[in-house]
Amino acid sequence: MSYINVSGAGEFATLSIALDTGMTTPLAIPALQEIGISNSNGVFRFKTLNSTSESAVLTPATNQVTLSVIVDGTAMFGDGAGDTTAVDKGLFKISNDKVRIYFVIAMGGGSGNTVSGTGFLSGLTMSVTPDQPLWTSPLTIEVDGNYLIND
Amino acid sequence: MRTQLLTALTTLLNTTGIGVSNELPWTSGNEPLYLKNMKRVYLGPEQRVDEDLMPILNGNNVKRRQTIVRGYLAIDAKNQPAGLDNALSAIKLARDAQVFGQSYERFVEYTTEITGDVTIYTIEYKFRNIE
Repeated sequence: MSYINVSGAGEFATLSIALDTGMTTPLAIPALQEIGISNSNGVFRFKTLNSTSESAVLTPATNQVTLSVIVDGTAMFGDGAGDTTAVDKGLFKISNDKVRIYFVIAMGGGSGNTVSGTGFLSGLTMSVTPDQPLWTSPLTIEVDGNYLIND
Repeated sequence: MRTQLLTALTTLLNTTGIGVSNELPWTSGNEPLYLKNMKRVYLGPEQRVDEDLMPILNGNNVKRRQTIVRGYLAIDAKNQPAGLDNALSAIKLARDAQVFGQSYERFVEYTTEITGDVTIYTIEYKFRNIE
């Protein structure tokens, strides 16, 4: 069995994003609480008179990466050194400016598996409460096209 | 926290007729100090509980520290001091002293127990901080 256990030191799941396909100066999301990768194929179902069950064909998939983060000032608002790289801009500006991103998710657990692709940030909703006095936010990468899966 | 509470209580209890002792509530000859020296608040040592508040995938979890300080005050049950109500209000106010501004949750409660002719107030302060 080759379960991917990400709980060991050095075996954590990670997400990096960059503004170019070469992943120049990637922003490694520092306080990732949760990450989900979804590949949801669309389905068209139809019935025929010669069958007692529906038939199905697939339509293009909706690909999304959902995550939640604890807001890190530098990662969220950028390093203040300009707007050239993802590290410079930070997540908020990347989302606000609707900039295309390129991402790599390392599955961790010593597996070496990665999932990468390109898309846009969406769903940023920073919130804080007196009972939970750290800013947190969900975030979605609306993936443009297929994932690139490295097995 | 205990030191800061002692400072806050010393100020707040100043005019109530109830004092504050810097000593721990240790027992002398089977009798706790707070019974020996009534009308004085004694604070016990701090107890701390560190736990993960928000797990993070990279292992650097956000931690919460809960600090608990218990205090004791004994008074004569038959002849309650005139400033007792003010003193109890002051004991509750101590949790909001400015020095505890970094604590995002602050609790105080006290329970009473009557033993013979003595009323014992057991006070519990709880502070929660992000570490």
